[in-house]
Amino acid sequence: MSGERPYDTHPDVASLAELDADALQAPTEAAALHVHVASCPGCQHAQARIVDVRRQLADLSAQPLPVDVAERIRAVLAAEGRAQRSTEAAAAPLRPAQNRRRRLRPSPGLVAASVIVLLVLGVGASALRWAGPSGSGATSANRVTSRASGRSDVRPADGTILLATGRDYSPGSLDADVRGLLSTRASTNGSAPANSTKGLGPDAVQPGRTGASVGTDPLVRLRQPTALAACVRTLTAGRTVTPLVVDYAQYRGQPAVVVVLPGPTVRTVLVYVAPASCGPQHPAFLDYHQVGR
Amino acid sequence: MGGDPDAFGELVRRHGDRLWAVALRTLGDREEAADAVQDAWLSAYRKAAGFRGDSAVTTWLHRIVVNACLDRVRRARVRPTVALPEVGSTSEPADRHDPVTSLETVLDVRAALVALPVEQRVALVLVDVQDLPVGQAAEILGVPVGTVKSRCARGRARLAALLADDRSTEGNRASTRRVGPTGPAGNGEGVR
Repeated sequence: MSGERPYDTHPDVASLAELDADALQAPTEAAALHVHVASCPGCQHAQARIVDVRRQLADLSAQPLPVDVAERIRAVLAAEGRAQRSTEAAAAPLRPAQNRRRRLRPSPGLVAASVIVLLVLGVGASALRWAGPSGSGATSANRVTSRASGRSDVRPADGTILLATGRDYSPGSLDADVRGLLSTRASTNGSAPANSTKGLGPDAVQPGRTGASVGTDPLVRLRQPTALAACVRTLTAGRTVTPLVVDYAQYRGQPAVVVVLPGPTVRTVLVYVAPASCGPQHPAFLDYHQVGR
Repeated sequence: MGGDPDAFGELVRRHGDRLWAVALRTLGDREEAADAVQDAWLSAYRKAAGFRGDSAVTTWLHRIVVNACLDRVRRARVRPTVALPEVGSTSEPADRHDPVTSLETVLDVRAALVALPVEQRVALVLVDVQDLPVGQAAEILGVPVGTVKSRCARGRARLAALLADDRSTEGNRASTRRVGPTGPAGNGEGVR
């Protein structure tokens, strides 16, 4: 070691890496390190290793997007585009204040369809509900009326049928299952379907509930009205749309909520399948279908 | 661009590979990366109308992907889970066409990269893997340039040590954490 060098002992690798990255704060320190390294084979070797690490990292760069992942992204974006258009059409007459961002004037046909949706939602929805406060044939557990009804801060569950069928939906059967759900709902006229005996209200601690316990239920968060409302807003790109049905169930074996929203016509509904993590922090959904009734 | 799936499809075609590499190298798990990029692209699609062009599109997209990855890392810290083994989808497939020695190195580097603290890992992914300028990486991460340099330096030093450890374990190379006048020696950090 030379007394002219401030480094009487050898620098650690981190210092050499900082030198390499131009990350040393003091120019004098960098200059002193340069002097040391110039006459120190060991330090030169260590410095070469840092350069080697950079080269090895650069070798990791080539990584084409896998076809299956690209397809997932394409499908999600396409579904989102459809959902945005559909919810705009469906929500327009219901919540005009939220349509300031609309860019297109609704066509007369769209207006007519929306009016029909409005009528169905306003008049027919209660008739189609399996159970309400005075509904017959429904147990307290599968009563679907939100306890939060009337609370202005919890809208999505207001008038929504909440189920917990536990059914394991799949991509191939989703349309048929939802049609079955809706037809059963209509035909039973206030009675819960056989497989909804685990039906739960939105309140996670609702008395009399059956099925998974609160502690182990992965969907427990979404049973809270505010969380469900946030999930639905996320699915609908920020719009407040009242779901027709929410089913706490599974999708391909994973916990999921199936959210059925009014479609662009009275003959259709929009079906979103969302994971247990659904919310603003996790905007992805598992599946989306537009289903004819 | 906002709300136009076709325009967005073009963005995916242009930037999809690079953003996938960012997610994959940051998270080190194929399925996690797939979920992260899906979240990120959906988020970008929804935010596209509000994109004001203050930064380049590539910077904006990188920021969204990096944030999606960091969100997943933070959530995993809060709720640690053990992934179920799933045939054919648990981890990234090996590069089939690399020579064996190169493949081993690549696997070592991947594993070592995942072992780094996430802040250092992301900085290295952007600067060394993606070859982005340090200034752009700083803009993506929302930190000063000096912070990115420092994170990169610490990450490279740690990688060098990890890789050296791997190789010394295999008997192929001596541990070189500490440097001396006659070359690699010792097993601790050098002292100034």
